[in-house]
Amino acid sequence: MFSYYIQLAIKSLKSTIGTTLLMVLAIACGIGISMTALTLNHMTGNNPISEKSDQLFAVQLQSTGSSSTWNTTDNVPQQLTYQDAANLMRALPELKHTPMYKTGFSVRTLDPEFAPVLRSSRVTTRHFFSMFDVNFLYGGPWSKTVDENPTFQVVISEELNDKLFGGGDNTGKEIFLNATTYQIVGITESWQPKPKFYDVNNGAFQSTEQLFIPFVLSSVYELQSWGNNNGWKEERVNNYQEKLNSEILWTQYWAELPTKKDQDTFSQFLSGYVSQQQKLARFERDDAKGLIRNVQQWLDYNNVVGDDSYVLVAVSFMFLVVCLVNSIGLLLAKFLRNAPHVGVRRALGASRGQVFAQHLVEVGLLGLLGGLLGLAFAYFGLSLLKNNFDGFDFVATMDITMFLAAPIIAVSATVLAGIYPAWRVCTTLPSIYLKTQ
Amino acid sequence: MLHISPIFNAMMRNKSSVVLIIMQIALTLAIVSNAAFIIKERIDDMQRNSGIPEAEIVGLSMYFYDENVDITKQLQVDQQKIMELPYVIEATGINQLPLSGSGDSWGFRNQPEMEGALTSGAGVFAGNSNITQLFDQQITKGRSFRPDEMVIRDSGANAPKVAIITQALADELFPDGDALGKYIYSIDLPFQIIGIMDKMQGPWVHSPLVEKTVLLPAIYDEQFIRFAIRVEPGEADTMIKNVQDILLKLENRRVINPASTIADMKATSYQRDKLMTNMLMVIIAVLIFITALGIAGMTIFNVNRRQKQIGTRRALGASRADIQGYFMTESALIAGLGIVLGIILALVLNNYLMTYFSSEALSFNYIGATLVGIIVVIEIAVFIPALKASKISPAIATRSV
Repeated sequence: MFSYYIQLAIKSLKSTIGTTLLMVLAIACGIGISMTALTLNHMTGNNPISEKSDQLFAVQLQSTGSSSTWNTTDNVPQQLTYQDAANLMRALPELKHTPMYKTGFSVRTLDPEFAPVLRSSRVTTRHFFSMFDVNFLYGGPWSKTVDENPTFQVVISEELNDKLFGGGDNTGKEIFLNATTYQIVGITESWQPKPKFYDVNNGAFQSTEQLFIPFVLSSVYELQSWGNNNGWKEERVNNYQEKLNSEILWTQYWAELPTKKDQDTFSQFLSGYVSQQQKLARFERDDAKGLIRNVQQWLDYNNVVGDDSYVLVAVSFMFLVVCLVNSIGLLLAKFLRNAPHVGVRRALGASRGQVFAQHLVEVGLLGLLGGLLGLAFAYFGLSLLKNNFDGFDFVATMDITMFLAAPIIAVSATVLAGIYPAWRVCTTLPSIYLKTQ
Repeated sequence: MLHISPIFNAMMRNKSSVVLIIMQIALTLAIVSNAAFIIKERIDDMQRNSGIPEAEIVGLSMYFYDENVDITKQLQVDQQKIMELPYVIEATGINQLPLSGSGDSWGFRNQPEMEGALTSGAGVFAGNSNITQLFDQQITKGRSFRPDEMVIRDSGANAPKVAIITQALADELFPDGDALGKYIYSIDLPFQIIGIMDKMQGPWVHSPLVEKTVLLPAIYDEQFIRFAIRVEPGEADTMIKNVQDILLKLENRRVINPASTIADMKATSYQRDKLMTNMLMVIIAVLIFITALGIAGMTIFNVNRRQKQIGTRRALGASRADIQGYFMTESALIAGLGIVLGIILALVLNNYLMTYFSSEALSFNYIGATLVGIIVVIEIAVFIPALKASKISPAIATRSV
């Protein structure tokens, strides 16, 4: 029966080719634009580490002054001071947690002919790699000892390895970061989480750092922060040591807390730390507190997707509604014009249900055609985005969810829109059309 | 035009398609007016006067990796050599570039004590004493920097004593309008305001601080530093092409990032706004097109369905213009209902945007303009089918369909 309905539908659509094209075009435009907006929204709101999202936590401390206001929903700054980060990293050694910040170096090989390149670098501990599932091509993270005693060791990315050496296992070799030689201990596989959830300070879609060095080096070696440095206190910072001791907020802090018990332990430790700092009169606020947020909460908290994206999705779906209303009108017109035929079919014994089903199949087919064309439109729209806007490469690849969503949304929306016209046509009394006009 | 009552009665016979067209018009009006308003807001932002000759200033960042380079001295050498080029107007090492999206802001007070002070953040640009010429700033009150006022900021102790600020910052910190000659304070550093410039935007175009800018005569001793060059109009590309080589020839113990004009940096800073306006423009254009086609399609359908009635009316003496007028009036009636509903819907949508997305209140001009636009589009969409209807021969009345 279904295939017969399909045949009928094709015949019917062919017989009114102009209206059909108009409807398919309308649905395709609606689907094309709403899918473009939805993909943009979906990819920017992507959780790049969804499998561990509930185990990884961004750590925040309300350490600012009693009258400081912060541009976050709960008035707590996103970053920590260096001293807090350094204090926290030494506690709870049985759990994995790490401070980090972004810096950068000019990178050279020992080959004097090699023109130095500038690369950003993440200063962190060895836990970073296992916490965020960064895989190694060669070698591995530096050892625990290196995290405690300043040693010039470095992990580099596959991209930098290719740039410096043209690929291959180069662990054990030395490179210059600025004027200091570092030994390569590991080379990571290419790793580009989008959004860059662990540090959203300078735009959530920046590239990942290509160098990783031990956090402990910051105290012996004056590493400038290449991220945000937010001060709230009236304090002069004339040199690096003063910056390390200052209340300037510039480090990120993450913890991996796989179980509820770990989360409780860590939260308790944070509140203990906060009250200790309050006693020392460093944390001035009465509402000083420590907070942890998992990856998804962190992305939401930082509004990584952005208001614009939601507005675009809302507007484009309203646009889709207009396209569908348009199609309902045209379908109604088309179906009612076909009513005399339906009258004859009904008189010959077709049930209302059959007439209804037949018309819905026709609508569904229309939706499918519109959806497929819409998918092509969306693909075109996303390539335009990719080509005209820097840093939007990641949205141009529709993932499987979006790929399936387009025809499904198109078919279900048009079928929904088609219910009324189909119902109208199947409830017409056959007798009317059996009379001659 | 005077037969509204029969037209209305005829419409009521065919409620569902009328309701659908009304809905479509209402939604279109609501979406288009709000989208147009958002577009206008963004375009206004993007077209704000930055106060800087954006296309004539070339900026770059560089990183001195060798500790043995005397950075501040090298920056002065760079400046001298670059200035020797015939098409260069001004050049300086600088801590940040305007409209680039990254840089420094400081907090300033209007008095030494915190208690009771007026405070404001401001983007701070530190360069050589010709920094006002670099940014082509007219000093409306006071004067520009003198060479002897410039300091080399290699330790905390060397701080400039004077500052030039924008009118916007002066208004914020000195509402009485007597800023010139007064001091502003950052932490414990005092700066005397020796000049006030009309307008200069800072590095963050989306920040409320964007119009609040401070110029300081200071060269910083920082490994990572920027360099800005103002060239004669039309020479920016030449400069961009050659500047890396020129600077590396002077000192190669540094990495020099590719240069670009402030205009390009501005474009990048406004990229998301451009994305938003482009997408909304596409939505508006396609939406109007679809709505027009839909209305035309419905009218064609109505005309076809009513062929016999039209023929009969013509046979009974209705003129072509009567028939044309009939359909035009019918569509105007439908449009009118759609518009009333659309205005309500537009305000509801705007209210939603204001509540959840800190949008501004929609001005009635946008609804008005959209309304006029939609009426024009509808009448155009109806005109051709109505014209076709008017050409239906009266003879058709005698035929049986």
